[in-house]
Order: sequence, then C-alpha cells, then structure tokens
Amino acid sequence: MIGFLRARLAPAWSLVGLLLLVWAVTLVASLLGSSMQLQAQYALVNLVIVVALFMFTGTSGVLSFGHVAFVAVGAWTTGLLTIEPALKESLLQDLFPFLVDLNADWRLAVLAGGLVGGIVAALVAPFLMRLNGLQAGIATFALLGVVNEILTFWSRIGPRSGQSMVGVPDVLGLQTTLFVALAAIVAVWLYQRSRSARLLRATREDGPAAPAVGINVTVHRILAFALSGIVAGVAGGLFALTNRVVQASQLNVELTFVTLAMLVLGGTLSLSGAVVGAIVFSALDILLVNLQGGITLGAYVVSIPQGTRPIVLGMILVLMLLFRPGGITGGRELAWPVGAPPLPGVPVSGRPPQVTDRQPQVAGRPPQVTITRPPA
Amino acid sequence: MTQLIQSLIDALSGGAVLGLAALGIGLVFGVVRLANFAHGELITASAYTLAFTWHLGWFVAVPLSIVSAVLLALLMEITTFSRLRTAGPATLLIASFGLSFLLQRVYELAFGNNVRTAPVAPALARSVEIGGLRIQLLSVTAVVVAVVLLVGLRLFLTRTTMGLQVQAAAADFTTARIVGVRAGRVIGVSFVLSAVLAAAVAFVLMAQTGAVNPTFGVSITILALVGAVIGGIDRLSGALAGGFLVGFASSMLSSWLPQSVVAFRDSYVFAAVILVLLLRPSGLFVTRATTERT
Amino acid sequence: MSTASGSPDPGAGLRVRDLRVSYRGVPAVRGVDLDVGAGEAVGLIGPNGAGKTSTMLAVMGVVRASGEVSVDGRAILGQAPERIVRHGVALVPEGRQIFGGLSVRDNLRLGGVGRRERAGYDEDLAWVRALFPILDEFADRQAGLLSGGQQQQLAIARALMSRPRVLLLDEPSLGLSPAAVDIVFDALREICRRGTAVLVVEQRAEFTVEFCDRTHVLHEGLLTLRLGRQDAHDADLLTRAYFGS
Repeated sequence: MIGFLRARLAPAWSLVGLLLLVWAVTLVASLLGSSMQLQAQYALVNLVIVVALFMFTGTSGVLSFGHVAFVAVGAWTTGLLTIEPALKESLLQDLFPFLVDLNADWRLAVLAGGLVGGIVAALVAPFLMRLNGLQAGIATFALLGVVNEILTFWSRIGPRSGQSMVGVPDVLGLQTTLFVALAAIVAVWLYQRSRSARLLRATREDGPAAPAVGINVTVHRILAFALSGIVAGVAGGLFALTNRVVQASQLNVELTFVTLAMLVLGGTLSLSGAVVGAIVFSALDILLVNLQGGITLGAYVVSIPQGTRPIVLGMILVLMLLFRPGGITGGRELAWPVGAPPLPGVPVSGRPPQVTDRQPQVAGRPPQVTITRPPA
Repeated sequence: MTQLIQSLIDALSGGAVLGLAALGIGLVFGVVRLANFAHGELITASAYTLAFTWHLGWFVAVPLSIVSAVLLALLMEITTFSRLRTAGPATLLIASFGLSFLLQRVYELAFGNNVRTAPVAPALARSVEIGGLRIQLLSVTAVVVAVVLLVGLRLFLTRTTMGLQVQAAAADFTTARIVGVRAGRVIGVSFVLSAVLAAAVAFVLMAQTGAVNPTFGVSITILALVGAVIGGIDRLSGALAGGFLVGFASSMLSSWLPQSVVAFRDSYVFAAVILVLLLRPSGLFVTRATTERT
Repeated sequence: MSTASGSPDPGAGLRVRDLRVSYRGVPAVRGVDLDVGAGEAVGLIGPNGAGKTSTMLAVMGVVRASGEVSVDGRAILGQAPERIVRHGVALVPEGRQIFGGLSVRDNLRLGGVGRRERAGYDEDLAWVRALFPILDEFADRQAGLLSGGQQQQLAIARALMSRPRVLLLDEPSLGLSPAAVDIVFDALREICRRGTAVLVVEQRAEFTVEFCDRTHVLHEGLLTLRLGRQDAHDADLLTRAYFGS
C-alpha cells in the first residue's frame, strides 16, 4: 500500500517539492523588507530564464549561449507594448508608426513577449539545430550577437543606439512574478514528461546511438528550442516589467554568463538543478550585494570591498566545475523525502567509468561530445 | 581605386590580427580540445602590462607583456583546465567562459572600469605616402608581425622535437602519449605558444587604440573563436585562415557598407558564420580526406 | 614444461598477474596472468570482445586496471602511458595509428621521444632502417600516403625507436596482404632475436600458434587455454579454443 502511494506520488513530488521550495524562499524574502522584495523579483526572473535554458540544454545536451537573445526579444516586445504611446512618440522618434500606436495590457504584453521569443526561436531553430557540440555553441553565440546588435542599433524598433527604453509601468509585483515563475516550472516539468522530451533525453544519454535507432533528433531539438524560446520570451517580459528600463546592453553576454552559471551550479541535467541553482546563486548574489553595501549587525557593520561580488560568483562557478561537475543536484531530481525510488523517466546520472584517458580505444579522436554529463 | 587599395591594406592587417588570435585559440584546441574563451583575458593582461610599463622603454615593456600573458596562461592551465582533463568539451567551454568572466572582474577590481591610456609605439601611428597612397605604418606592422610569428611557429612545429610532439598530440592525443609524448609538457607548451600570440595581438591593438579596459580582449576573442570554428578549429591552418577571413571581411564591411547600416557590421559577419557552419560544419578549409581521418 | 622456479631469469620481460579491467562496471578482463620472457614471442588469441585489446591497453596504461604488471621486475601498473614507455614497453596499436599528416622521418623521430636515454639512438635508427628498407626509401613521404603494409612497418619501427624491452602488437596482420604479413612477422622474429619480449594479439589462430613460443586463448576476459607450437595443426583443438568449450 505504501509502496503504491510512493510510486504514485514520487513523480509528482519532484514538481510539488520544487514549487513549495520556490514559494517558501520567496515568502521568506518578502518578509525582509521592500528592497529585498525587489531583489527577489529579479531573482525569480532569472529563475525563469534558467528554467528555459534547462528546458533546451538539459534535455538535448546541446549547449546554448543564445537563449538570452529570446529574453531580449521578449523584453523588447513587452516594453514596446506597455509604454504609453505618447511617451513612445516623444522618446523613440524613429519607431515604426504602427509600433507607436500598439498598446496592450501588461499581462497580454508578457504573453506576447513569450510568443515573439518563441517565434524567433522557431525561425532560427531549423538552421541551428542541425549543428552539434562546439559548432552549435558558436552558432548560438552568433545568434545572440546578431539579435543584440539589431536591438542596439535599429532605431525603428527601439531607442537610438546606446539608449534605453524607459517608462515601462510598475505593475508587476513580487506575487505575480512568483505565480508566473511557478507556472513556468510546471510547464517545463510537463514538457519533460512528454514523449518528445524523453526521446530527446535518450539521444543525450547515448550520443550517436540514438539516430541509428531511428529517432529523428533534429525535429525534437527544434521543438525543444522553440518551446524554450517561449519560456525565455516570457522571462524577458518579466524582466522588462521588473527592471522598467529596457536596454540591449543588459541583455547580452553577462546575463548569458550569469544564467549559465546558475544552471551549472545546480546541475544541468535536472529541472531541480535549474531551480536550486538559480535560488542558491541568487541568494548568494543578494547576500554579497548587501555585504558590499554593508550589513549592520548590532554595533558592527560588516562589509566587503566593491567589486568582490562578481569575483566570488565567478569563482564559485569555476570551483563547482572542478569539484562537483554534476552541480548541487548531481543531475538528480528532488527525491521523495522518505527513501523514494528513483523517478521513472528521469535520468539518475551515475558516475561514468574511471578511465585514465579520454577513451578506452586507442584509435583516433574521442567522438564529438555534446553531453554535459558529470565527468569522473 | 586608391580607396580600394587602402581598404584592402586595412583589411589585410585586420585579418592578420584576428588570424593570430584564432591561431592561438586553435593551438590550444588542437591539443586540449578546449575552445578557450579566456584567451581574450591573456590579450588584456598583455595590454595592461604594455600600458603600465611602456614608459620604461619598449625593450622592457614588450618582454614583460609576453611574460605576463605566459604566466597567466600557465596559471589557467594549472589551476583549472588540467583538472578538467576528463571532462567533455561543453564543460571545458563553460569553464573557460567562467574564467574569462572572473578575470574581467579581477581586472575591474584591480585597475578600475575606466580605460587606461598609454602611447604604445607612437611611431607606428605615422602614415607614409607611397604613390598617392597613405599607408598607416601600423597596418604594415601588423602584417609583418603576423608573418614573422607564423614563420617562427612553423619552424618550431616542424623542426624541433618539441614542435613535432605538439603536432602529434594535436593529431592524436592518446597515440602521442603511447609513443612517449609527455601530456603535461606538451599542453604547457601549447598554452605558452598561444600566450605569445596573444601578446602579439595585444601589442598591435594597443598601438592602434592606446587604451585598455577590463573587457579589452573580449570582442576580438569572440570573433577569433568564431573564425577558428568556421575555418576548421581542428587544424592550425584552418583556424588561422578562418580568423583571417573574419577579420578581413569585417574590416572590408566597415570600409564599404553604407553609413546607415555600418553599425550592423558584426551581424553580417555572424550571419555569414551561421551560414558557413550550416554548409560546412567541420570547417571551410577542411578537406574531406582529413575529416575522415580524424 | 616450466615450473615456478624453472624459468631462467624470473624478472626479465613482462610479468602480468591478476589483471582486471572493466568499463562502466562491465568487466572486460577478469584476472589474467601472463609471462613474456626476454626474447620470447607470446601470442594472445580469442574471439572479438574477449578482452585482448583491453589487456594490451591496460599494460600500456591507457585504460585503468587493477592487478600487477611489471617489466624487468619494475612495477608499472597505474602509471601514465608516457611513463610506461620509458620503462621499456612499446605498443603498436590496432589500426596502426601512425601520424598520417607527418613524414615517415618525423614519425620515427617521435618514436624516439619515449627513449629512456639518447645514447644508442643512431644505432637503433640504422637497425630499424635495415629491418624495414622501404621506410628509408620513403623517408620524406607523408605517412598517411603509405600503403597499409608500409604503415604497419612504420608503426613497428616507431615503437622500436623507443628501444623497448617489451613490444606489444595489437593485430599487426589485420588488413595486410600475405606478402606484407611475411615482412612484418620476419621482422618480429628478428626483434625477438635481439632479446625483446614480444606479445602479439591476433585473430588468426593457426598462424599465431605456429609463430609464437606460446599462445594463450582469451575468452570472456579469462585465459582458458595454453597452446604450444605443436598444437598449430590441431584444427579441432583450435576451433574448440575459439568457441570456448
């Protein structure tokens, strides 16, 4: 009887547990004052980006440096739809006329952000998804470069070069952001259980074996890329409404690094890893920001020098890769608290074999690996 | 006509610089299978050294700039990459990405966010007129530096036993070790060589701009990495040619694109890159025979 | 028949005890004992997947293994391949693995990298050139352009340039013409005569049993049978050895 319950509940627990975790952490943050509330809201936006990144990279095993491009596109869309037309007319003089008049409720604007992010991802996916390994990484990087440059310089769809879009309304709030973030987690969790995602994961585990079995990897990769583009676009919408200023330079390599670092920290191979990584990284980040500003503890003020924060965060990423390459979760999903069996359909990554060199064969090169399994 | 020749000379020097950067990345990739994002921070380290020591004379500043890049490269290898030897390329890529970010922030903390200026090799900023053409001495220098380094590197790789070992390790790491090539030493040598190339790039860039900031090496590294990959990062000649091509093309684009769209120069380059990757995933300059062999 | 105390120089050559290799927890070699004395040729035959190559790679330090391996009395197991070469073990890998982009001359120079000492390099080079005259003729040719048989000669020559005490060969006859096989095995005989211990993995049972002083049959990671030259024409025995009954 208990065994039966376990088998039924364990899969759902990996979702419910995550939702509870995010909810609880946000609740604690919200009790710590309004400045902390805003920081928590930024953290939730990053969490959605990381979840989107996991949705693609974690499932397909292909590294993407390009998802921030979809975030940027989403932020742009939401920004353009929510800024007052009159304000747009005076600030963004080169804008296409139809964009000046276009205006939408912020809820609709966030959805539109997701839609545009998904469309852009779907448009480029058929091209990018034919590549593997390093080539795929470079191509997604190039995508980020192109999108960022267009957003920076094309004044018919945004501000003139180097300037930013201001006047995004203050409507979002921590609670709504939380709900959207929870919805994103649910969406990705559901996707992970789909047939398409399971097939894609199978190709990730075995690399070159799967195509031989007759799985058309490219189609499933394209689907994963496009769907994760939607989630990233929604995250962009949230970013616009949280930051209330939209600027291409904020949606570039640095954000790519930060979100990738979060994913690596938690573990690239599981949704729990994405969520836990985002939470831990953000918590640490917020702590360090506050330490840089000085924290008053009774009679003492504890502080660290300016500029320490990114260095500590960078070091944490590098140390994590060195000493625990599987991330905090090691590729596992959140376990049912009382001795649960491993979840069906969810890979529990074991340690690969101990081999003194790269490959057991003497012959030639190691095969092109697109897998981010934790190495020995 | 003169404008065309002038732009060609500029493009040649732009290609030379990017070719050197791509070659540095390709050298390390060949041996370690690491596409090193942090190569740019070697360039930056060299550039800072030039900026801070130029007043002592070039004969002090240039050697010091090389030494600083070499030491940093070895430090990266010893602290990070050597411990990730069994990891996949994706992990290595993320690690170098992280290292790059980390070092940029260290520079920020140490030297501030603003640019540091120093008149590095001001004599090279002069132009000479040859038959109605105004040629920047600097463009010529870039090409000369590149050619000298390429010849030197080629001699090292083909004439010395250590160079042969680097070639062997790049061709087939496991077999090289079976033959007796010491893995650590060869990897160290490849990092040193790539650091020397990075120092050369830093010298040319500093002579051009005279200013360095914490993200000095980032954009050239991304372009060089892209160039190396489209040229075929597996082979040194491929990486070099790919880097040259990207540098040449992007310089030509800035000379000839209409003013209204010149801001989108990199987009054209990147779009072309994606196209090339689709058509020739293993590299523009990789022949079928070599693809099959590896 | 040899007994434990019967071998003339107990430390000389290669000595393997209880060698075990596994990949991802799946055992490939499950406790192999082998001795190859100086100047001896020992064969290792068995079906595909029996663990022949794994045994070679384990001795060479390419794959991780447990047990004991020593050369001339020095324990080498657990060391990196580049150190094991310097202890006097050289491997001619399956598929030859010469450096196809480099010249024949440079391949031979690379073979010299694994020498313990430089002394005697020129003599060894002269000997190797005499052993394989074709390599002398094509010294400047790109190694990848050589024929299969020539590449095999180059691979052996490259291994010899490290002046090995123990030479391991993984399927040296694979894909070679009968004439080329003769050249290779004549050379192996010469190499044994020089006092080198030779361990050769082969698919061709009859040929190997006849060539080697001793041949072991490897089956599912275990040595199941030991054959002498006299068994070479016992077709029945060889078949049974192969199919493991």
